[in-house]
Amino acid sequence: MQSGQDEDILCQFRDKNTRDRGFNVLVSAYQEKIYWLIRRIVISHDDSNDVVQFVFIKIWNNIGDFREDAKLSTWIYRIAVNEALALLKSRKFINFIPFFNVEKKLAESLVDDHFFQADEIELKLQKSILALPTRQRLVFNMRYYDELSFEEISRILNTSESALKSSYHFAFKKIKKYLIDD
Amino acid sequence: MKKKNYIRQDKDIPDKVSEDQKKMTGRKNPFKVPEHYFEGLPVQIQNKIKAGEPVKQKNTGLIKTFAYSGIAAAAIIIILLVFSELIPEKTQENKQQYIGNNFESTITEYLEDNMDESALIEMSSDSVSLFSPEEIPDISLTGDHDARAQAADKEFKMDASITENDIIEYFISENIDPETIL
Repeated sequence: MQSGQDEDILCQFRDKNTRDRGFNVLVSAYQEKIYWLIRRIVISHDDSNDVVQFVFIKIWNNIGDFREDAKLSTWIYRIAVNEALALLKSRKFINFIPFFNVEKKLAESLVDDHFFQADEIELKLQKSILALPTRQRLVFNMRYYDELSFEEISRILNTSESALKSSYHFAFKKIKKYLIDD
Repeated sequence: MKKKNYIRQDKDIPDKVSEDQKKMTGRKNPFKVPEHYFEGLPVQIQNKIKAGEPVKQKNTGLIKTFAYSGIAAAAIIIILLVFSELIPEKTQENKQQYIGNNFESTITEYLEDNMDESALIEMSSDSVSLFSPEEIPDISLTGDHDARAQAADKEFKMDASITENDIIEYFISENIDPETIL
């Protein structure tokens, strides 16, 4: 079942005359949510900008095939997560090193990032999040920052809610330990 | 605690997180975007769609840095491999002999310091088993293959009443991080 706004977007999209308007409404409704979700995964603004534009172009090209098996928001979030993870994966590949730790590089890059403004504690928090395994990092960010419900995250990541709760629990514990010990 | 600002001065960086951004993320957000970024994003996306740009992520920013570091690492490995081939045979032999002698003496010293003779004999004995006799399931080695397979199935069959939630709760109660065992 789509929300009222999503239903409206899909209706406009199906009509050739209102397609552009429908897409504009979609971009306006989701751009910030999608940007922040991607930004916390890929960290740099430039990369986030590339991925977010790529995601919306992909949505434009594929929304005609969207069968409404899932909510529109879930479908959009899923594309965003997959594309952001694909970027990280391509980095690992480009480095030709099987165990190249891209998250460690991203944590190091925070200090010199023009678009990262944090005190010591916030920097430490972000570094501790980047030290988590990718899946735990995703779950933690989506729950803690994006405030998505476990039910919604479960649909986006196609994982059971209990497994997500476990991931969140361990992510939280690791972050706490990192903040206290280091 | 005294706050340390990790960001360089830049005109297009907002002084503080916008109210919309706070509302959107729910938590304090140290990541920033250029001023008016979200206002211009829909136009950028529309322009790309109209221009019919191929749907492909760009390799920008850090990805180039990562690529260069990967190439540098590969170059170092190749140089080392070539160099090792160029070392005269005599030198190689001496080097191997040196490593061999020292390795042996180090191992001997370690064993003398840390283990008594009886422990060494026990370690080298073929009769030592990882399991006590009670822990080894009683599966007859005689009989046909199907019978043995059935006996093994019966012995190792997982209790059907154990649910995924039980496993997750067990992990949490025993403090086992699933990431470390999967």
